[in-house]
Amino acid sequence: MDIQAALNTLAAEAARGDMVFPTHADIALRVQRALDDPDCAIDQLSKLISAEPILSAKVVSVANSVAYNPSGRAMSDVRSAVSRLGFNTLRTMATAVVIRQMQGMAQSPEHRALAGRLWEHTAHVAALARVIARRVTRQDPEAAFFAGIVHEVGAFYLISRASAFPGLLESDLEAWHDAGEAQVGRSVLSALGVPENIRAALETLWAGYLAMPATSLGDTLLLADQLSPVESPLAELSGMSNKGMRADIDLLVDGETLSSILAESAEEVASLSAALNA
Amino acid sequence: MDYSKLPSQEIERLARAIHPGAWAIEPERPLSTLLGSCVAVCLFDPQSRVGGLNHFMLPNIRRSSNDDVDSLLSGSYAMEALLNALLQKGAKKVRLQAKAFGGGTIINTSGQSMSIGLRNAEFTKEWLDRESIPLLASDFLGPWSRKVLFLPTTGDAFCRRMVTNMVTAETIAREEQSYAATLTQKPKPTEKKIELF
Repeated sequence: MDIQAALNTLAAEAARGDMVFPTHADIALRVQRALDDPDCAIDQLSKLISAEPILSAKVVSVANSVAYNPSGRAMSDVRSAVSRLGFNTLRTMATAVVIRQMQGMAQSPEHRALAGRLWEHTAHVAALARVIARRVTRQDPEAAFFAGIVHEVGAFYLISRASAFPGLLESDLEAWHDAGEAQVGRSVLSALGVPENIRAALETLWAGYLAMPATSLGDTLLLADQLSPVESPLAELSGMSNKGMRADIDLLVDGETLSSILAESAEEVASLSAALNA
Repeated sequence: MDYSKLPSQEIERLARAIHPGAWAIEPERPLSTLLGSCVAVCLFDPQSRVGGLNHFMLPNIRRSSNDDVDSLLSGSYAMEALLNALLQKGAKKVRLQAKAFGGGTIINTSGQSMSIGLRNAEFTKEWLDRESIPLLASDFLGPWSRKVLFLPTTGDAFCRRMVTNMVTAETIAREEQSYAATLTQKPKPTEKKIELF
């Protein structure tokens, strides 16, 4: 099959705005719009979120993760969770739900399984990016978290549309890694209304050049992607997987090594990625 | 031109490419190198703003009982050639900082090829440690080839892990093997010029 032609078609339809999002994502998109309203009240937002069971479950579980609740005081209602997380994190959660539900748009069980693994990878990268931003690159942790959540949107879209191009996900996808991911990803990010600073971080990820030591939001995301213990299934198809080999990446941060920082933060990363996977 | 303000792809386009076995210092122009199992070390003095990069591997010599010593001397030569040149340009050893990359396994994953990358990476870490030059950042091992960019005026380094398809792997392996052959075939011609530290 002509992979380049298939990727061009996908990018073109995404660029035209002919994108279909899951029907259940409506409320998540309404939450995003409410968050854009400067007069948005917590009560109104909590009510909107409560109407969407997946989103409200996710909001409560993330608010209870070690990452957002280091003191361990559990809460079970949406309103308290909304207050604890703040609007930026809620925007991330709403987007996470839309992306997660794209998984269900895949037509075959194989493709849905692929999207499931892609979500696991996404959750790990998002949780790692938040820690790296706070402890290594000194970037805004919430922006890094959001960037992690959206960093594979192009791949989710590719999987959700793969049935229209039989054999695509069974082919050598080097062209996806080369330019296809950026082509499709840009259009999907635009349709989701992702802010400019996050899109710039994604451009760094797609270009693939990691500044050593890492400094920018883009570096934060790229480093999290390279360190994630769960690889994207697309990495395997495009020849970028670690093929079971150990990689040894390290940085000095104020005299401390990246590996020791990550070891200290392991619980925080695990709790947040588990909450996202729940 | 302030290269540090350019996007990485533009830096890559303008950079001077350094081939296996070579080293270079540039006053301004970025340096780049493409690595398979070899290692590249970037050394930079942040005060005098002098920096350079090398690209080397330890030869796999199997001739006599002194093999290991010969092999390590060859690695030290690659490091010392760059170090000496930087000192001549006004760098001070005590201020030098290092960043190092490579040691990947890009052809058959069984046996020798794996150990070559690992040996190169281990040697680099040990040499820098012995010379008390801090290693600020590194990306070693794994199955990827790597493109490294280095800005000698700022010490900025960028590393891109790359898909190693058959064509890339063969090109890199060919270059690295012909460099490896020069290491095993002849005595190091400039040995007498080495200033040991």
